[in-house]
Amino acid sequence: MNIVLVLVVLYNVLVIGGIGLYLSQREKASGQVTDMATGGRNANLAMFSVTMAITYLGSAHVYGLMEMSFVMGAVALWFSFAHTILMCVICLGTGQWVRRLGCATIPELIGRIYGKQMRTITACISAMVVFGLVTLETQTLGIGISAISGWALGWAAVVGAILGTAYVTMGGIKQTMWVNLVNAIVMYASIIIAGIYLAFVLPEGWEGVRQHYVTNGQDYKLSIFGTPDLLVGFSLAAVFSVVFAQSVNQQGMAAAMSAKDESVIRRSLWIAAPVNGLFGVFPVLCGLAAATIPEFAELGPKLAGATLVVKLLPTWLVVLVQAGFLGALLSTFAMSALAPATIFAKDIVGANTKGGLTPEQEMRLIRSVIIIVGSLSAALTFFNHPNVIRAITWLFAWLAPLFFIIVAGLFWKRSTKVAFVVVICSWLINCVWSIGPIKQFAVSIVPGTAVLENAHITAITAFVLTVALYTFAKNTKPALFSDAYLQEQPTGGLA
Amino acid sequence: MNFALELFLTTLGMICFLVIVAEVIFRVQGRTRGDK
Repeated sequence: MNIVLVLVVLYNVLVIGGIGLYLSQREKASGQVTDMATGGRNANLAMFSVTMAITYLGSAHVYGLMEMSFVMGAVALWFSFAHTILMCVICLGTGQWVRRLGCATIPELIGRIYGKQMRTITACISAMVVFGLVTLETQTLGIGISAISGWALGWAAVVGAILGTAYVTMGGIKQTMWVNLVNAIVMYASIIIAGIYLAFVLPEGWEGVRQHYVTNGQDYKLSIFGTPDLLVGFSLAAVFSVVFAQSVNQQGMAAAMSAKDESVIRRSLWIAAPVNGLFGVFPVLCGLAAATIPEFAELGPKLAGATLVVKLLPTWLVVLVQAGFLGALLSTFAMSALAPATIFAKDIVGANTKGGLTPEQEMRLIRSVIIIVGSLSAALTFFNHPNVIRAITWLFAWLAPLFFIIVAGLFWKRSTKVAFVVVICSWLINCVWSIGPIKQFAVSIVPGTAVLENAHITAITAFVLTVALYTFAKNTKPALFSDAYLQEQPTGGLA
Repeated sequence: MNFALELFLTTLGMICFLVIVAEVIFRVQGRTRGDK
């Protein structure tokens, strides 16, 4: 049995189980049922910031950055900078808006702005999208466990899904936040020690890595600005798709909705942004170093960085690094699994049940749906392993139009008809752009569109339609945060 | 300076720059504070 795998799993079982047990005892003692989706809305600065940062540290950061830096160099860090911009948008914008309105889900927010029908439509699409993301997170958990154990990807994904489901089922978002806090400390301690350790075990240290690129005329790989082509082709595309699709998705907003108040969200930016962004330095360094050592370089971009970590570091440090990496993957899985369960319980069942669900009924339903979602995604991943990055990009495309109709409805004006047309047209174009022959036909007419992914096409369509339709729309209502709307409201505020 | 440390400090600098720019934009725009 692989000792590293046993120790990594043992660490996670102890942390997840220990915290779950502690929280359930505390809940029993208080005699109250904590809302699984919002955790009682009392997350403090430390818990909120770390959860915000770690929720957006998934497989793309851990394994994707090693692969990207191996090929492109340090410019791959723009993927991390795109997430820094995302943290800014959430902490200074979208996160505060949803917290101010006291919503628990994105469809609920859309329902507040545009009515019940729009809430149901977006709930169905959001649940589908987030379930798709859960299956992909299950696959990446499987890749992580498979890399440590050597097991087949299918079985490794099943083990990952069991661990991930246990992570969130016990206590919902509160459990996830506490585990995130512990994992963040372990993860950062391990990668800092590993970075220093590598300086001594790399054949010529970190300076040797720099020298290798300079000697081979590839010194652009050492700069975060790379070449102008890479900066435009990679960096701009990363910022575009990450910011528009992720700034209103349920996983990130779930954390914002559980924050104690808006001030916590705003102040957390100075913790969440560096905690999230600096993580990328370690995988980028591993990818850059692996490409300079023939033993690892010959394994190719996907495996070189991960193998370097396992081969050059001592077992105890590999256990710590892998435990931290697995913690980051588990956290993303947990928040992803909680999202469709919350949407189903609150927006599909709760919103359409007379009198709503009691807190106990809602908690039981969310827990059951998390287990169903976890089981289904494990079963799907056991048999099917689609390309993660392409599938994620396609799924993100469904969420991009929500950003524009939310911003317009909060700050400009509201019209259910306009919002409906915007989302339906954007989603139709997303489907059309997914059909190869049609896309090729469009590219043959306008060659410049060849570089556009589904997320870009839907975001551009949604933006243009939102601006154009609202400019000419008649009989619109005042925006939810406009002075005109606030003056209409009786005392008590928006929430 | 050590290459790894240099990359770490560059990244930290870039993150701080982006956060400061975002803070300035949101404050100038006046929404973040003005709405409270």
